[in-house]
Amino acid sequence: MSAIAISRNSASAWRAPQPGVSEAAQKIQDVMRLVVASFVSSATGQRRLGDPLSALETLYEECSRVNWDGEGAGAITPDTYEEAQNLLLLLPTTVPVPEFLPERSGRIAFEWYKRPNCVYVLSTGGNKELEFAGLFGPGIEIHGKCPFSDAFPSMILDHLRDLQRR
Amino acid sequence: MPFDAPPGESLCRYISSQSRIRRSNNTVRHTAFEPPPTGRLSVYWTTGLNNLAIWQICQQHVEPELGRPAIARADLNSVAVYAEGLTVDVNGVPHARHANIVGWDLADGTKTRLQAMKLASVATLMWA
Repeated sequence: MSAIAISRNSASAWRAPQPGVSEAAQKIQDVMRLVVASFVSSATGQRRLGDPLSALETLYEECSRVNWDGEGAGAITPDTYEEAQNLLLLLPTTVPVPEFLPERSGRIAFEWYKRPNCVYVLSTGGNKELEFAGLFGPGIEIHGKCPFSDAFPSMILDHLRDLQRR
Repeated sequence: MPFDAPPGESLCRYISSQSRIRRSNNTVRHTAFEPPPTGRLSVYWTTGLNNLAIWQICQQHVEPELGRPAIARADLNSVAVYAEGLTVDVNGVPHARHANIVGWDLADGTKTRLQAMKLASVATLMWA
């Protein structure tokens, strides 16, 4: 029951790891799937998850072959696509839905843009390691990497909150 | 042939992928300036050329290589390139005004992405 209550407040709870294999754990997973399905069918759910998942799928279809840009870009792999989906599903509902961009290296970038020198990019390459880079105004910038598995990284969340405040 | 004489030189990078343009406000995304694995990002030196001449270079030398039309270009001043610790190398191939932005630290992908974001933030989008 607590898992369902959490899912009403944060999309990330939907993708919370469920290591248990007991009957009770399985029931919780089943209920959560129903909750997610119900949410996606709503207008809010379509905007938060349905449309972004479709955009990711389109991006993957268009960029899953080498040289999709005519300039030698790397292909987006199934692992990268899957990791991008997971990242999206873990995105807290307090964070705006980003735009998705194929990168030349074959990674998928999540972009949050406010204005030319106020933009944040989070990039996934299917290797359980996220790369980030942010411009937060003149002279204020950040870049680096962080591990990624089953939870949205708190450091990235802090960066995005900072971006939203500016 | 590197150059860096203030107030800088005009450069352009031709764009053929929609995903490299932010259509909501007609600006350029960082993906337009991501260097290839060779570390040589293709641009053209456009100082002194009019708009028609810039697009003629694209039609004659860029689009045949891409195999598709350019939809826009990102105009940029070389001062912004040098401000990122990068260099413009005019190599004259396949056109006398062809150049490459070089000096990327390809081992540091996050720094490279940030550099590309900063170039994109000061670039001007020009539709074809």
